[in-house]
Amino acid sequence: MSGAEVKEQHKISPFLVFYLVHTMQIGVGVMGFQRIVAKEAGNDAWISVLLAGISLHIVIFLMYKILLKENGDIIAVHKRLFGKWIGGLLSWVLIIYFIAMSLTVLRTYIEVVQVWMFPDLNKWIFGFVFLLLVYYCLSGGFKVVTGISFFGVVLPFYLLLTMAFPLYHGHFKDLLPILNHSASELYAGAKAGALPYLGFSTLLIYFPFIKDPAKSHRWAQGGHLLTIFIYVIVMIATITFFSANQLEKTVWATLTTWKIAEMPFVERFEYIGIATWALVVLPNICITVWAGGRGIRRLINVKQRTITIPLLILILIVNSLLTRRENIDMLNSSISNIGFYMIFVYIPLLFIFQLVLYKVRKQS
Amino acid sequence: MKLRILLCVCMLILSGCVENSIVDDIQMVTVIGYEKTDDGKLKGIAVAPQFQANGNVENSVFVETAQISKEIRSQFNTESPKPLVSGKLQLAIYSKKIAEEDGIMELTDTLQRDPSIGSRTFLAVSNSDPEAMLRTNFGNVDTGHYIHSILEHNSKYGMLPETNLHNFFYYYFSEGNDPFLPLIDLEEDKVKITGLVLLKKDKMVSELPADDLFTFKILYENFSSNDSYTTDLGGGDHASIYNIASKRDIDLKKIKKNKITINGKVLGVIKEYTGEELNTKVKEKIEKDMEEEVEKKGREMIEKFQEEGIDPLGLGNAVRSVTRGKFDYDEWKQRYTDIDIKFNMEVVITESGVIE
Repeated sequence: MSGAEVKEQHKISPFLVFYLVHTMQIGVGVMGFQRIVAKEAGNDAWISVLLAGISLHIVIFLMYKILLKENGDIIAVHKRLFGKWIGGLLSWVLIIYFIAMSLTVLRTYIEVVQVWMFPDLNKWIFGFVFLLLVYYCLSGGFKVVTGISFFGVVLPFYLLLTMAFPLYHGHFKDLLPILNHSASELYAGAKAGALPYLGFSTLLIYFPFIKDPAKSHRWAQGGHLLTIFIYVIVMIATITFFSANQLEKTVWATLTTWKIAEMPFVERFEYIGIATWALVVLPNICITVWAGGRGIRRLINVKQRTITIPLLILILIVNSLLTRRENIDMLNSSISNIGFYMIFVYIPLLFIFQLVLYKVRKQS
Repeated sequence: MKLRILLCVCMLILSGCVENSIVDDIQMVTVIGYEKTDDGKLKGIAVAPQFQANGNVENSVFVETAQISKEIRSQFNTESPKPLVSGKLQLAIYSKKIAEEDGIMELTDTLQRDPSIGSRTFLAVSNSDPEAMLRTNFGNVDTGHYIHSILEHNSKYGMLPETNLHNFFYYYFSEGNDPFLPLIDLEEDKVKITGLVLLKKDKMVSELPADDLFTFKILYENFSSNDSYTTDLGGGDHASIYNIASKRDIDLKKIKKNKITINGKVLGVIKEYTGEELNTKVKEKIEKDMEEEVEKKGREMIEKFQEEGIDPLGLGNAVRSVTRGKFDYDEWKQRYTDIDIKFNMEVVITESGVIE
C-alpha cells in the first residue's frame, strides 16, 4: 500500500465534484437507454427513470458515509474491513470494472460514429488518436481530468435544447394514462433505467482528492439531480415522439430524434450532435482510466504514469478486436449489470458491514 | 514537446482516413420513385440534380428494373458517372399499384434504416406513372425539391396533414392509428395534390378526394391555415372564409357506452361573399350552413373509416390513453366498427374583412 495521502496542491475544490459526478453519468448510455426502459415500463418509463434516480441519491449518501468514516478511498476501506488479501481482491475487481467501463464507452462511441457518420472509420486509428488525447489529459494529473470533466459538462450542454424538436413533434397522449403499469413493471423499468446513471462510482477512488470532502456531498447530490432532470426530459421526449412498437425497434433513440431537427444552417443535426458527443466521451474515458491507474498504483508499488500507458494500449487492442454489434451489446449489458449490483447490493452491504465492524471494534 | 509534434503529425496524416464526399464529385438523389412493371418486377426511378455553372439545373434521371429494391440501388450506380448518395433525399414516390397490391413497407424500410436519410423526407403515392412524373421538366428547378415544396407548404400552411417519414412509421407501428399519405397527380406539366391515400398497415385501402381534406384536417388535428373554405349558401350565393384556426376535441367520457363525440371548432374570417348585404343574420346563416356541410361530410367520412376498419384519426390511441390496465387492440379493432361516433361542428366568424 502506498500513496494513500494526497498532497494539498493536488486536491480539487468541493464544488467540482458536481461536474465529476454528472459527467460520469452522462455517457454513451443516454444515446439509447430509452428502448430498454420502455420495454419494461411502456409509457410510464419516465417514472421508472425518475424512481431509479431518486434511489441513487440514497446510494450516493451511503458512499459518502462509508468514505467519510474511513477518510480515505475505497481501497483503504477494503483493506481495513477485509484485510490485505480479500480486500485487495475486491479492489482489483473494482479496478477491472473501471477499465472495462472505459473500454465500453470508447467502443460504443466508435460504433456510433461508424454507423451514423463514417462506416469506413478505422477503429485502430481513431482509437489510437483518441487515447493519445486521453493520455495527454492524464499526464496532467487529476486536476486536469477534473478540468476536462468541467468542459465535458458545460460545452455539450446545449444538446439538451435539441430535445425541443421531438417534443414539438410529440404526441403527448402517449404519456397517458399515467401510472398504468404495475409496481413490478415499474421496478423492472427502474432497474433498466438505473443503468445510464451508473459510472459515478469512480467517486470511490478520487474521494481523497477532494478538499474538505464533507462539503462536497451536496455537490455530488446536485450533479446527480441534474442528471435525473436530463434523463427524465429525454425519456418524456422519446415516449411522445415514438409510438411504442417503433421505439422498440430504435437502437439509438436519442440520435434518431435528431433526424427530425430542422435548422437553416445545417441539413442534418446528428453530425453536429455526434461530434459534440466526443466531448462527453472524453472525460468519461479519462476518469475511468485514471481511476483504474490510481487503484493499481495504490495496490502495487508503481508510478501511475508508468501504469497508464500499458492500460491505454490494452484498451486500444481489446477495443479494436470487438467488431460485431452483438459483442458490443454484450459488453455494454454485462458492464451495466455488474455496475448495477455493485451500486445497489455491494455498496449497501459494505455500509452495513462497516457499521457493524466499527461497533464491534469499539466494544472490544 | 515530442508529444506535441506527434499530435501535429497525426492531425496531418489522419485527416484523410475516411472516405470523403466532395459535392462536385457526387450525385445527390433528391427524389426516388417506385412502380411495378407488368411482369411483376420493380422499377426504380431516381433523380439527381446537376447544378451548372451558368445557374441552370439539369435533372439526371436514372431508371432501373429489378426483382428486389436493394438491387435497384446498386444498379443506379452502374449508369451514373458519379457515385449516387442519398443524404439529400427529400421525397419518395410510390405508384398506386404498389401501394394497393404490395404495400410500401418493404420499400420504405431502407429509408428508415439508412442513417443518412432524414426523418423529414416526404412520402407520397402517385396516381400517374411515377416515371413520367419524374421525367417531366418543371422548369429550371430540381425536380425533387419542386415536388417536395408543393407538399411541404401545403402541410405547413394548407389543408394537407403532415405526412413525413417519421409520421408514417409512428402510425405504422402504433396500433391505435393507421397511416395516410398524400396522393399526387401529374397534370400536364404541373404536379397537383389530389387527395389523401388511406392505408391499413402499409397497404392502400381507400382514398379521400382533395375537397375532403379540410374536413379530414378538422377531424384529425388542431391547426391554423391560410387556405380558404368555400360554402354554398343556396340561391347561387357563396361565401368563403379564410385564416382558419381549428380546434378538435375528442370526447371520450361515454366510451364505456361505446360513444365517442368529436367536437370541432373553427374560427375564420370572411374573405368573399357573393350575396347582397353581409349583416349579422347572413353571418349566422353562413356559420350554420358551413357547420352542417362539414358535419355531413365528416360523418360520412367516419362511417367510411369504420366500414374499412381503418383508423387514420387515431381514435384507438385516444381511447387507449383513457383506459386503465392493458389495452387490448384486437378487442378494440372489433369494437371500432360499431362504435357510435358523433361529430359536432361549431363555426365562428370573427371578422368580415376591412369593409362593411
